[in-house]
Amino acid sequence: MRSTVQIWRDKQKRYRYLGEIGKVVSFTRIVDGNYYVGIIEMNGKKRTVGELVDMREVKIGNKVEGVLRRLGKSEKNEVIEYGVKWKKI
Amino acid sequence: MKKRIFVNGVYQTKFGELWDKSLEDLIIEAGEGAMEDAGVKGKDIDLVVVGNKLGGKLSGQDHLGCLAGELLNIDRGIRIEAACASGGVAVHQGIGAIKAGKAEKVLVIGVEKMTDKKNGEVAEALMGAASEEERQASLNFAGLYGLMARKYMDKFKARRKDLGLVAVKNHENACLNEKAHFRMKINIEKVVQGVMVAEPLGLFDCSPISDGGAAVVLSGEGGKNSVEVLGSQITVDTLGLAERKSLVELKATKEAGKRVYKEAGISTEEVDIAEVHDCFSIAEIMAYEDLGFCEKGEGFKDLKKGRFNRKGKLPVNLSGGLKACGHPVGATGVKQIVELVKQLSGKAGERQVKGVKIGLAQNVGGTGGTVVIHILGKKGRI
Repeated sequence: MRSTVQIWRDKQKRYRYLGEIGKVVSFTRIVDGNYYVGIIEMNGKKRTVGELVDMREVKIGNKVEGVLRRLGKSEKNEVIEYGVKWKKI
Repeated sequence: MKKRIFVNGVYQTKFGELWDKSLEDLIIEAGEGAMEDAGVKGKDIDLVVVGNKLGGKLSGQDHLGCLAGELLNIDRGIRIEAACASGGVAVHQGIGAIKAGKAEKVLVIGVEKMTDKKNGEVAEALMGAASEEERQASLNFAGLYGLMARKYMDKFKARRKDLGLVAVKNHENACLNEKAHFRMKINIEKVVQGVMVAEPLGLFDCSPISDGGAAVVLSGEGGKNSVEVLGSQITVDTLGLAERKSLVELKATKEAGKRVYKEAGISTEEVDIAEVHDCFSIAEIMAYEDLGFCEKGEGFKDLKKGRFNRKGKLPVNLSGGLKACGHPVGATGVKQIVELVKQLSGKAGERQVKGVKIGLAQNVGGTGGTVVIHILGKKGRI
């Protein structure tokens, strides 16, 4: 888990893809935890990597939108970290 | 005039789950083994270079240049970290020290102690080689290479069993290597039926967590049967995978390859054997293509035809590769050099391939953020 200061320092760029529309270029399902992660290409060809949420099945080319979600797990005395994940539209 | 570099001695410890050996034990065994092979003592060595990635995180010990110097009676030492390419980059730096005139005789040790910690802790420690964005996306390295494998399979219509042949071949090779982690044959059915780790990669597409060490002694002087380092090149790319233009190649391998072939003065066709970085099956397939052994998208087809088998035209990973010889990350790049030297000097025992004159080693850090390639040849070849 990252420190509170690290999370605070990161605030300018962590939400930059919120509301952006993109498509899945490639994806994997991590079996330990059962979640999807994809490489997303947005308009202008900018790419990022992120978790794919609320999707039962993923295909290359799926259209997705950046949505606000909690990242990882935090202990009681730690900051709850939020960031952008990707949901099918 | 260009200074020539020779390998005077080599040694590899057993790779595997070595519960009776610590990081220190592996440094001593590898270092003393290579010095004995070279016929030298610690006092004859000007510099020890240690390639290691996880000493601090998994053994609580970072200061390995100093530690190796103390353990081996050498009064100059440095540690190199370049993710899973730490070993290869350590060799590169050892060569550089000799070429720069800072040392005449250098001992390079690659070492990693991984099995003292649980798999989850090791996987988290390894993610230090990835980008912050990738860590926040909850990726692990199987997932990162899974992203590449998915794209490759989609683009070139490759199937899981096409990639799985990498594991079948490398396990077969490891059966002839007494130092290998896994000395048992597997068939393609077993690979395909193996539990999934990060789709489309299953257990047998992944290299293991291993302990081990390897070492080489380098100098500017070579005897009659010495193996010469003909080329040594590093290239770096973006840290994160998403920033790359292509997911089906490692640009750093292509660039380092171009540079090292030029430095060695050889063409791709002249390579007789290669040790490549098969951390995941897809990585070996891409290596064939990025090193110019075949066209993009053809690697898995040539593998199926047997071209890269032990008895094929261009044997790859005779040691068993990372998949079956094992992958103690900091040791891997040095072990690749050890295997090439053994083959080139006719000392590879049961797995010896005849008529080997040129060998290539490709060592990758992260998802291709760092690539170091060496080309070795017999003295007097050129």
